[in-house]
Parts: sequence; C-alpha cells; structure tokens
Amino acid sequence: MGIDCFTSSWPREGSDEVVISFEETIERALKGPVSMEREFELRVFFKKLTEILKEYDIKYDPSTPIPSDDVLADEVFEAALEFYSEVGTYCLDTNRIIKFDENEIREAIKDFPSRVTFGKGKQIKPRNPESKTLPWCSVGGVGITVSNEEVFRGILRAYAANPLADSICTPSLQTVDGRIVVSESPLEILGAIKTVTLAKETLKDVDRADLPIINGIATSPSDFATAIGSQFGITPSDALELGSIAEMKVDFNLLNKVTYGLKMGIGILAGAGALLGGLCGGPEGTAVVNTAYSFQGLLVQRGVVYHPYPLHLRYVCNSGRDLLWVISVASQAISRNTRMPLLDLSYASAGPTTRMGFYEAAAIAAASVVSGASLEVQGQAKAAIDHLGPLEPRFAVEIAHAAAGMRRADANDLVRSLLSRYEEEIPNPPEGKKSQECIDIKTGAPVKQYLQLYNEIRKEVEDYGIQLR
Amino acid sequence: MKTLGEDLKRAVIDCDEEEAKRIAREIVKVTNLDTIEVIEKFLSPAMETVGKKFETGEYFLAHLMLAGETMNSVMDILLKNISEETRAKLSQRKGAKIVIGTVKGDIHDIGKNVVVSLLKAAGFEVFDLGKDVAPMEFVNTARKTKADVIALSALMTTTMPYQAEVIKLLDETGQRKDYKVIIGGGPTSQEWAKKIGADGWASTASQAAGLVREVMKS
Repeated sequence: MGIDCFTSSWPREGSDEVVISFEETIERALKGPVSMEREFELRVFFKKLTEILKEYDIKYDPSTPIPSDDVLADEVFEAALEFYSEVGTYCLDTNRIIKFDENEIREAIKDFPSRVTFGKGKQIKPRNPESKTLPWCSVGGVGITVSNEEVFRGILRAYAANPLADSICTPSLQTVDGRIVVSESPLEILGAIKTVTLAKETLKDVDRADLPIINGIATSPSDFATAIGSQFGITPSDALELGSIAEMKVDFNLLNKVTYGLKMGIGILAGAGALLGGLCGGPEGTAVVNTAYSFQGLLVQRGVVYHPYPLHLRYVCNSGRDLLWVISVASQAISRNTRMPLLDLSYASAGPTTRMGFYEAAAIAAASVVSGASLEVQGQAKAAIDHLGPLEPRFAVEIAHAAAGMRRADANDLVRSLLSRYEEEIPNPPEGKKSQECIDIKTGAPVKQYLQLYNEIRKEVEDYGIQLR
Repeated sequence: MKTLGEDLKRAVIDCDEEEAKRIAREIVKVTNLDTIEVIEKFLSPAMETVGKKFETGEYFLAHLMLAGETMNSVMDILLKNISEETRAKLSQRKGAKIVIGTVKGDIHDIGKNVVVSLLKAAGFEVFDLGKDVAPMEFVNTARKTKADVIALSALMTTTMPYQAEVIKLLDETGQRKDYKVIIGGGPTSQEWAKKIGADGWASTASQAAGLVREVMKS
C-alpha cells in the first residue's frame, strides 16, 4: 500500500499539523458522551435522521434509479455532514459516542491523501460521476463460505483468470482439514491462517501473485486473527476490509484491527452496510446514512478507501431499484465532494449460473461506475455455502469498464432495462448452482453451460448497444 | 373509556410514547378500568397493526422498535397498581414465553431485533438476551424464566455450530424435552435445522411468529 507518510493520522500538506489523529478518536471513544445502545438507535440516530429528512429536499424517484442531478447529490452530502456531526459513532464497548464537529469532518475530507496504491503499485483513483477513469475492479466471494480447501483453491483460480481484476476477495472456509470451523475457537484461527496461505499459494500458481488480497484475512472476524495475518503472507500491499456495525457502531475488536492496520501500513477499506428498511428507513434516509458512513470511515475506521454495501433489510441485496438509487446518489454525493476513492460492493439476490444473477451484477456495476465509484463484485443475499461463480463478476467488471465515461442518463436507461428483467423476482430469487457445478474445481475453468449463458447475456447487452471488452 | 382506549391505540400505532403515557395515566386516574380489556381491545390490536405495517413496507424497523418501547412504557403504567388476581389472569392469557438471542461469536443483531419486535407485536412474552450469547446462558435463562421456546439466531457459518451446541447442552443436561428450539439467520437452512435437531426454522423474520405457534402445537 503506497500512501505517503501514513501512520496513525495524515499530516496536512506542507505542515506537521495533524487534523484528528486516531489516538484522539480512541480518546473520544473512551470519554465521549454516554448513551445506552437503544437510546442511541432510537433517540439519537433515528430521531436526527427524521429531522434531517424534513430539513433537506431529498426525494426518491423510482423512475430514475440513476439520477443526473448534481444538486440532489450535493444536498445529500450536506445532509449527511450535518447528520454525522450531530449523531457520531457509538462505541459498544464503552457505551459512549465518538463525536466530531462539522469543521473537523470538513478538515479531514480536505486533508485526505490523494494517492493510494495496492498490489504491485497500481493506484486506486478517486473518480467523479461520468468519469472516463477506469474503475478499480475487485472480484471474489464477499462474505461467502466454501466447504473445504479444494473448493477454495478452485474458485480462487477461476477469479484470478479474470484479466480485468485489480484485486481479489477471498471467501471463508467452513472446514479445515475436514474439521468444522467454530467461531472464537483455535479452529477459527487455523481457518483464517489457511485462507491466507492457500490464497497466496494459489495466486502464485496461476501467475497472478500481483493481485492484492483486499479483505486481509477471511474466516475469522477477530482482531487476533487479523493481526496474525501478516505472519502468514498478508503484506502492506494487500488491504484490510474493516466493516462498521449497523448502524453507526464500532467496538474495540474493530478499533484494534484499525490500530494494527495503521501501524503495519496496510490500507484499510472502511466498510459500511446501511440497511434500507432498518433504522435508516427508506431510500432517502439510506442514501444520507450511506454517505455519512464515509465520514466515519475516514475518522474512525481510518479508511483510505470507502467501501459501502447498502443492503435491503428483507432481501439482503442491493440490486433493487431503491438500492440502486441509494448507491448512485450516495456515490455521486461522495465522489463530487471528496477525494476518497469509493469501492461500491455489489450484493446480488440470485445465485451463480442464473440469468438474474448476471443482470443484477450488471445493474449494480453500471450504477456504481457512472456515479463515480469503483466496484467490488460480489456478495450474495443468501450467502449459501459454495454458491460462488466467476462469470457474474467477470461480466460485471466488463460492464464496469464499459460504463466508464458513460452518461448517467444512458446508464439510467440501461439499468431500467436490466431491472425490467429481474426486479419482480427479488423476493424469491433462484439459488443457482454450487461452485462444484459451475467450474472444474481442479482448473477453475467454467463448465460449458455456464460459459454459454455468459456469452448469451454478453450478446444481449452488446445488442442493446454496450460495447464490452 | 372507549375514546381513551382508541386514543391509546392510535398513539401506540403512531409510536408517540409521550402521548401514549399521558393517556395511560389518564386511564388509570379517571376510569374504572379493566386492565385486561385495555390490553386486549386496544394495545394488542395496536401492536398487530404495527406488525402489519412493517410487513407491507409502510413501517421500518425503527417504527417497530419505537412502538415496542411505547407499549412497554404503557404497560408499566397500567400494571403498576393492579390486583394480584388481575396479574394472575394476565399471566394465564399471555402467549408462549420465548428466550431469544444471537449465538456466541456473532455480533449481528438487527435481524434478531426484527424478530423480537414482531414476536412481541404478536403477543408473545420475549426475553431478549442480545448478541454474542454463550450457549449455557440460553439454557440457564430458559430454565429461570420457565420459557417454552428457545430461539437462536446466527449470521455467520462459523457461529452456526453454537446453535447445535445449545441443543446438545439441553440434551446432555436432560432438558431437551422442556423446550422447543427454533433457529434462523442468513446462512441457516431447513437442512441445517434438521441436522442439529431443532424443532423449527424460518427463512425470514416475518415467519417467526407463525413458526412459534406451529412448534407450540406439536
């Protein structure tokens, strides 16, 4: 990871003055205002969000999932800034609120380092809506578990075969040497170590050692497992994906990982999943919270990349019309007003080898990229074991590249067309097939029918007028 | 009385805690109330309406939680000075007692919170242990509260084994027959429920109340 002078805070250009150091953030976690968790959720977070939505002119329009409205994007940004400066982040271990005033947030945004590199020196660049800059594209099994080491190797080979992939996200292991991994037990630590060693070996085998692992260490969410990752192959050119707890909460486990990441010089992807239908309410509230999480990502999670994955509370995906609007508006709000690179994480409802899964992946990719974000693809709603395939991510990345430089209005038409093919199925999506049925586990090569489906859908999109690489 | 009751119902549906508390105090002060009648005619239907509004997408999780808090505050006022006889009657009329929590190692609790709110709205008595709950804590709380059902949520594949562990503990301590055990959470499935010997599984939060009724019959 190549940020100049990155330790526990970033210095102002041409000066030694520091904005808000991480140590100061920890101090606020230890000494901030006290609140019970439920009180924070209902009387602070939800109450302020309701007030903000009355104050600002933010309206969801289902007919325009990808709005071309800069005023709306900036309004969402300002609403998010006011919201976060009033609400802050709740620390579960101290029952205290970590608060930053508006000036502190604005200063942190202004002082954000503009150069971030991962892997073998490749930069992940901040983008703008309709930017021609190619997005960073990360592929992998986000939050999905595979049953054993053989499937893990096979699916990783398949992902690494994607020529447009800039980084890889490893899945978790359900078993290690045939034993079921149990949370918080030594088996979980063994599983976590295995994900790193296997991933590094496999990437080397297929001559893709250049691909950075973007999620640090999988299988264990513990700070201990994260910290030992570097003993087994994670290097500062990889990244740590550190997710917030919904909504606007952190704990010491997360802050310990941040401490480790900062001191090791590993870039942090500040993850956050605002829940539509949860405390965020509808699309408008979710867009504001999704934007506000970028400030938390900067000041609490100390991210060098903001990594949002807003989700539907009921359907656990972000391919629906309302969530595409949230992704688009929040990405536009952040990319227009900060230099923080954005890596939107897609969550499909349908499983691998289904027509619907391809359409969903394409819609999210287009929505993210034309709105100023890069892309990670993909999570899956049910996260069923072994339900991972390489061709939906491949297709999504091709769409992402094609969407660079596209007009938002054109992307809106494309997304509407894609939505018409799947949105009614979101409540009852097809589960798809297991990796063992999608690919040859030994080589990672997709099976014939899967490849046929991929080619068919590619052709559909090309017939629509999108040129794919 | 009817007007005050309707006003109370409306305040709970609107999640207006202060107004609901004011009306509850007025009911206690100025009317010769029948607590059971207030609960059955106005409060339970209010929570049912809130649950339905959540199901149809008109209400969000925050409304469910706020209505639940409002209901709790109102009940505190109504139950403060009731007779032992009324208290006994109320106890008999309550639905099943459920001990619920997210299992050890799992800090995801939003889905579980939705289930808690919907179960309360459906009239069940719910003991929410929160998140990251050790297996033995479920067993001990179920015994202390004389629960009918233990509900176990897991959002990660690595925490699912703790759902199995609670059932094993019940088995090994000779208490399995005392409780129905139901499970849920993203990576769980009917097959998993069957494999670990759970009495029921629901794929969504909105199926939870129906599942409890179903397992209580069996």
